[in-house]
Amino acid sequence: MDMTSNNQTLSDHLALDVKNVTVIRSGRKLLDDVSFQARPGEVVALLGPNGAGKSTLFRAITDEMSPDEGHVLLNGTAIGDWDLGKKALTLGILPQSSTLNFPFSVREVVLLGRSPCKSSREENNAIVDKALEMVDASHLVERSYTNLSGGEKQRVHLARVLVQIWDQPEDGQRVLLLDEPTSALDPAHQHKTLSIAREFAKQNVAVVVILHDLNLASQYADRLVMLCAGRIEANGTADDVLKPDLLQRLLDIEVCIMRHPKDGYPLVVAG
Amino acid sequence: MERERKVRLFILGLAILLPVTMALSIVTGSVPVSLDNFIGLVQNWLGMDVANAEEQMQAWMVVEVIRLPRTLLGVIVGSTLAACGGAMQGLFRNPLADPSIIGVSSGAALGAGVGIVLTGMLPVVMVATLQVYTVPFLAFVGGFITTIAVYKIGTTNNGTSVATMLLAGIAIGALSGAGMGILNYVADDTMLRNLTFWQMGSLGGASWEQLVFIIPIMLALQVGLISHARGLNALLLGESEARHLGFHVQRLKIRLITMTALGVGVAVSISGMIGFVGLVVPHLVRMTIGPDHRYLMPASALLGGSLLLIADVLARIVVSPAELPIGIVTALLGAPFFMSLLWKQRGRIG
Amino acid sequence: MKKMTKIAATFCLCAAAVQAQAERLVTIGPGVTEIVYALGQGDKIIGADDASKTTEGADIKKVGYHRQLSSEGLLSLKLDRIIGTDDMGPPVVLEHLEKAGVAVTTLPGGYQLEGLEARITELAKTFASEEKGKELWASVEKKLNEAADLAKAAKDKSGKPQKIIFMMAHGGTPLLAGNNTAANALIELAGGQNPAKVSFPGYKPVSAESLLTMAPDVIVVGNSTFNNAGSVAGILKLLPGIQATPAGKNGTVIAVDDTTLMGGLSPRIGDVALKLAQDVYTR
Repeated sequence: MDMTSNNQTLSDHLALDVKNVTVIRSGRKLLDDVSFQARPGEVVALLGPNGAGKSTLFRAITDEMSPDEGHVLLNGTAIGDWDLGKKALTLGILPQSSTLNFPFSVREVVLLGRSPCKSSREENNAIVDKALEMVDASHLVERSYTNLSGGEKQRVHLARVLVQIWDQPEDGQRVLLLDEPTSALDPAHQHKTLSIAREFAKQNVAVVVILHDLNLASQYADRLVMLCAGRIEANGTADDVLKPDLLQRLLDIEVCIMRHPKDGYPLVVAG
Repeated sequence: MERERKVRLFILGLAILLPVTMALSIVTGSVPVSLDNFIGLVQNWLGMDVANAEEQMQAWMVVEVIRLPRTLLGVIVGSTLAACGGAMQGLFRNPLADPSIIGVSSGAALGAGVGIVLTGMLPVVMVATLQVYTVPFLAFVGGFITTIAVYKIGTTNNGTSVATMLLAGIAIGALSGAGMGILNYVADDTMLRNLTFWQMGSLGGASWEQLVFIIPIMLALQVGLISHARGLNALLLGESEARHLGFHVQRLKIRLITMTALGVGVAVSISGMIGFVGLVVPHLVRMTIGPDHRYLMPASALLGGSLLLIADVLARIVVSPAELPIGIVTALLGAPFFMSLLWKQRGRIG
Repeated sequence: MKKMTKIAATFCLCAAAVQAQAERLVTIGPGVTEIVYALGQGDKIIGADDASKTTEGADIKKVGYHRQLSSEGLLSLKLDRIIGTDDMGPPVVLEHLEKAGVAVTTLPGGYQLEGLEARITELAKTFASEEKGKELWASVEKKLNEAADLAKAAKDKSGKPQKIIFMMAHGGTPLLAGNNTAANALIELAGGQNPAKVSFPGYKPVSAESLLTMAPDVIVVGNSTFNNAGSVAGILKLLPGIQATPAGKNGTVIAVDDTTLMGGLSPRIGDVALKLAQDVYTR
């Protein structure tokens, strides 16, 4: 496979490029001509009400569902054309929930994230320790996964995905795709998780995170993409997207927009 | 790294246990065999002159023709069933899954039933000889066809849904059950008893001719299964997660299914239905050293071999000079043990 | 395996030498065991299958189910010969025994009278007591002839043969004897006609309605079934509809010694058939 893709000039600064993706299932358009990009070093929040097509888009990006029209490019190469092993080193995916119900230790679960990597045991263990510290789960390392709480499990899986794309690959930029990573977390760990996303962005990783909390998105994301009924309805900075009339139309809520007293980013308050 | 030391110790223990149980299986039986007999036998093999060779003939014959092949068959069948069980539990992400769930066992049973009834309809003189080959072969074919059928039903463009496959397994199991019911009606008295006894399993049919053929196949299968340990570990996370980790999930599943079907089919066809080994051995190992298949698979194979030998020794001596079907022994030994473990672990097993 | 044949060959020689003393026998199948006793060779038996009836108190080991014998268990008895019908097995065990120098005598099985005659003749030849064999067969034949005469006389009088069924119930649904069963042979030897013969082989459960169409004149049961049911009335309650059959209306239920029916016909079949014929035709 030719990794130095033909349209390099156009896409080398786009880690993830979703181009005119349309998905039709049972006669319904789940996604209608959806396009958006994520650049290295950027955190993109994907927002939208239930049933907007976020999960479908997630599955189109992860190559679990092939679009009827359009395509998804990862570092300029169609997602389905990647060698699975190389793709695993480039694209880290955290699903909403995991079905793991075997009594692995937490270390073993996180080590599974290192299976596509060619590093030594010692290196792997060291990286696992660092990642567990990042997600605030170092104290769980010898615990059995099945005995963890929902939030602890979610953090352990985040660590697993982080160690998977821990190293900069030989070519291309890494993409981290997180599907509602904060759903089971307490407020402290919600902020911790999104800070980690920012830290990875600092290392030139493109981060796409599906969120429901508009204020978290406003605080941590560079760009907000609003999906509604299978279409992209808004795509821009927090200031562009978080507007009362737009939110009223798309999310059906009355809101006021305020400013964060210290950092100045927009805050959405219902009512 | 507490766990790693435990794992090493456990596997070492199992590696010692296996030769010990093999020795036990070789020295135990209705015919008394002394250490002198063994020394004499080894000398005889080496071509040396042995004092009072005639007296030792029967002991030698028992060891060489009966116990040695039986012991080897026990090891190879036990380890294969346990390894296949471990792989299936990983594949189905259910610590309580076993070969019968995806229909290998019921398919094999139906195959054997068809074999027994079909050959039973032939003239009496031909039956005995024909059944020796037909029944095991059809058992294997039955198990294999069922697995492929279940797999085909459970697979769509989006990959194999485990839930659909399990349900297909149940449906095919019911179909095989109905087939067995029809056979039970068609079969005459002697065929029926044959069916029943075959379903309970025995290692008594071991012969060198068979072993030469079976051991390489089973060993290759076990090595093949163990070499997919990393893929099995990833599968435990879920199929999409395994794909995200860079594994060719579809290819992995096809290989695992083919190997387990072949392993269970061949094992069942030679020794009949020996339950519990494939289900409980990997489970016990997992409770002790955790679910990492790189250790779980070889440890299960070792323990499975030992456990089946112990069960067979009991089967041989409990009602000597007759013997119990080994399937009864494995169930009697395993089921209560298993239940007590479940009791202790209740609430912790998903 | 070459060395093994050498060993086995030597062992055969030893076995042959021992044979001059009392031969140690294991008999498989009640029919076979009974013939061995009837030929006066019972004291040689040192082991028999579970179903065989052997002398009380004698040191005779039970060697299990006749299709699931154990090589080593048998060898531990130091036997010289094993005798059974062609359904004894599994075959690999017989191979093991032959390798160890044990004589394996396989007799024709089956539920026909010819099978019984062949078993008696061959066993008599094995024990070099052909005279005794002839006597035994002659006595069986004589009784069977008497039974046939009784049946013929009755048929001449009534113009049709008696319809007889054999029923077996050990808890659960009662089973009827169809074709290819010892019970069917017994019915025919007693001059009866088994209406279930054309319907199926072996023992099968049967519906109340088909029992009515069979319209048996006589219901034969084994002693064990009869004792379980307790009485003729008990037998007639085993299946709904039995009472409406001719046999049910007249209460014609006859109990026979069913041990003679297990594992092929035994030499006592003459007695049992004659007894049945007497019960049927002189009631």
